[in-house]
Amino acid sequence: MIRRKEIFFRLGLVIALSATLLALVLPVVAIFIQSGPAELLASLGRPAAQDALVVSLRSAAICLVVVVAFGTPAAYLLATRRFPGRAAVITAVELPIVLPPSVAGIGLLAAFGPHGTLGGTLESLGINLPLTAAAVVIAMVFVSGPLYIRQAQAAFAALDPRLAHASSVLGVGEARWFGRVAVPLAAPGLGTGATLAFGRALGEFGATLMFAGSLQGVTQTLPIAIFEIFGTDFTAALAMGALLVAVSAALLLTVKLLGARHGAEPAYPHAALSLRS
Amino acid sequence: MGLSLRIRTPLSHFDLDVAEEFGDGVTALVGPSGAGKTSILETIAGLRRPASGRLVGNGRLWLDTASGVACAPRERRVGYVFQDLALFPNLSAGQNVAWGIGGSRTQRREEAAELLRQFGLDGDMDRPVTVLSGGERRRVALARTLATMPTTLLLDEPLTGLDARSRGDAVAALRIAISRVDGPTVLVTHNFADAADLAEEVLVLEEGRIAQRGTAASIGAAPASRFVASLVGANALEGRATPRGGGLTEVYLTGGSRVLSTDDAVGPVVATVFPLDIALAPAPAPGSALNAIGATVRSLSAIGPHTRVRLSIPEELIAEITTVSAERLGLAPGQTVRAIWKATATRLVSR
Amino acid sequence: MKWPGAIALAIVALGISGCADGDDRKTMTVGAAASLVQPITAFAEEYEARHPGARVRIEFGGSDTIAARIRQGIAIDLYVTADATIAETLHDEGIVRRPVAIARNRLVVAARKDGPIADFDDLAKPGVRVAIGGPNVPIGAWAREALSAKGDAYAIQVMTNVVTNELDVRGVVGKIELGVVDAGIVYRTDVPTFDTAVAVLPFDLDDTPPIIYSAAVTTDVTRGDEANRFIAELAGAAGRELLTNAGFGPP
Repeated sequence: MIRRKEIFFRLGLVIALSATLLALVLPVVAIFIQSGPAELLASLGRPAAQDALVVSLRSAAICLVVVVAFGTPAAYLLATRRFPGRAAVITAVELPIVLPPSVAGIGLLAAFGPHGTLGGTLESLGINLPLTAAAVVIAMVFVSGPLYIRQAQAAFAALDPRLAHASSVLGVGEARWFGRVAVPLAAPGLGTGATLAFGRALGEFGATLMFAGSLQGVTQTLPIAIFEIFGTDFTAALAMGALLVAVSAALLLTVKLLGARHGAEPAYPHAALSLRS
Repeated sequence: MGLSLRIRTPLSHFDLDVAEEFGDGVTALVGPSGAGKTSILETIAGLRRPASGRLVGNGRLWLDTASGVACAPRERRVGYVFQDLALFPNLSAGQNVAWGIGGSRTQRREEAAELLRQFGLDGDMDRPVTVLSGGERRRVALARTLATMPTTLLLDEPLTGLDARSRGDAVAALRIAISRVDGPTVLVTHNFADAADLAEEVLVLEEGRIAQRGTAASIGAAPASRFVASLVGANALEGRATPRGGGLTEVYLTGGSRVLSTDDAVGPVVATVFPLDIALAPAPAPGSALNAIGATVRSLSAIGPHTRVRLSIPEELIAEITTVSAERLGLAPGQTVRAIWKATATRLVSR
Repeated sequence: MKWPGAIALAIVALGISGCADGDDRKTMTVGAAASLVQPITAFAEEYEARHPGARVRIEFGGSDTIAARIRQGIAIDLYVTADATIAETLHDEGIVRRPVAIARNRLVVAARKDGPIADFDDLAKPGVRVAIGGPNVPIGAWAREALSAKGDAYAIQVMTNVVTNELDVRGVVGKIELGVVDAGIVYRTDVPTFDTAVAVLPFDLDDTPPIIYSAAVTTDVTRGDEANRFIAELAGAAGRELLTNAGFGPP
């Protein structure tokens, strides 16, 4: 009786994985199957495709720099300090993760649009945000930032508190501790967060379209370009889709390889130094 | 210039209530896990703020909850060696040691190298601490602590978990560190023998309060309570004492046996005797002022030339005899023997 | 214990697939251009009321998007497009039957009354912000033709003022509404939907090829009779009245 249960359980596991692979891998592979390499390369020569790629990569890169520069210290603060309202702050920071892109777009317009909360002030300063290249970056930051902060916060929270205590007793200021020990130890988690954020930024569509519009070479990102063209030139859409897949896959692979070089990810670095070794 | 502390603060199961003065030598706080030892160290270091307390270290006021004074750890010039050492895993030995040192890069590197040399770690300057052995890491931790030239040294379980061979090295390294510190050293441990090895004075911490204070020898000779007795490794038997004259006191144990002691006491007492003072014999031996109690052997464990024998009288009694004697007596579980010790070896403490 | 569970799962799976089949047999699917939302929805309701038992499901979207789906073989029985040329192309490819013209629309510039644009010349003024459709979307293609018809130099200047090429006319309308642009080129039928005050500048009818809306039945349709009846009534009096009320002209 026990034998049969075992067999069914293992069979169930295999079926589950197969179904998952089918659902996740097939659409990606189909992009490459449906069009021949010659067509793909020819379509990539289109200026629209190249412009879209540049806009996407450039905006996502700037977004990542902003997110990491602000998000790392913010996540550190959230991870290491207790203060009244902390739970509410964390929820607020993570909220964009569960917001649909259209809601994000509406929010950005409500905040920065001409009749928005900050829009009036910005306009009087001569700054007009909607439909600009900067708007693409802002939309990307809004949707991808929380992903980074959540990972970074977890990474900092996993650090052995004794290490911070030791540094403090040795008389070293927190800034040096942060830069020389906390961030390097948290680096694997920070890297994962950055990857997730970059991927999310690259793929952002709804909020960008609403807030930044679509102008080739300025605000038209790759996902928007794909959607614009697929009705009239499906092959071109396939080609750009393949491009996006290739870039994302290369990114994921790079991060995995870099992570592997640093050794197995130490989830609890301090455990490596226990006396029991 | 010593350390004066008064701490009152709630812990998870009881309140910590301690008021003591420490001199410039080595003082040990001994107690079981959870007794509050680490909390005291953290409070001295400035990592923890008690509900109410006052700390004066090396002549300076470090903490006074009544008036709101609280010095940061860095201002107290305290050196703290954590139980798990808390070395920075992404840095080398040299970088760890140099962490608290000020000055130019060359200066810091030179001072760190000198400290490592004094602890016998000459070639390890640039090795990452993750590849060092346990003993080497311990010495790096000590060097790092001394690098800031602290005037108070705090050690958390410095010898816990070490095998016999590493222990010798560790004691030597600790002695070096202790000798370099100009002020008090406070170490905490749950092992009385560790305290005895390193400290001049021992304080026993029981449920948040100091139960006894003195040299390791004096505590061992006269444990003040059942708790302290078991901590120092003595047998502790409860009973009622009545003077019998001739300098002897009779104690009727709860289990029914009778024990003689040369101490004076009346009423409920705890009678303690060290395992080494107990001899075992098959039959009552002659001699005055001797305790000879019938006991049943429960178990034996031989460690080299010594054997620990667990007996019941019916309370638990532990005797330590030579393995040779144990074999000669043919000791085995279930056997009846007589446990014999001198009345002068029995200490009495009122309950 | 495992077998009853597996059987139950199988029954549920069959049931679900059965339901899907049932739906197909009863409902006709119409793919219609986004600009037809109001009149087509109203027409479909009246149609279902006139013919009890008939069920019509309408999907709105860009005409090119729907055409793409039809090409991929997705089950659409009836195609109502804002771009008659797309329908003609599909007809040439044998994917749809002969299209029937049902209405005509025209292009207008919708300019925010609180903005700097009062006439066509203002569109070319430097610093003005304009929204139009993308080059591959009907509304965008028409807009470019209309601007060129007014003069190449003019068209070039206006195009430098274009700050966004939206993916459908709803996007253009949205940008004008939000005030992030000063004006946009939309269909006349979109004008009533504006909440904000806009000035309407109609393009001359000669400036663009006619914007003819046509309807066509797909060739591998499952409810052919129903579809033909739908088109006939849409092109007839009942449909004409609703379309005219919505601002469309006769074809």
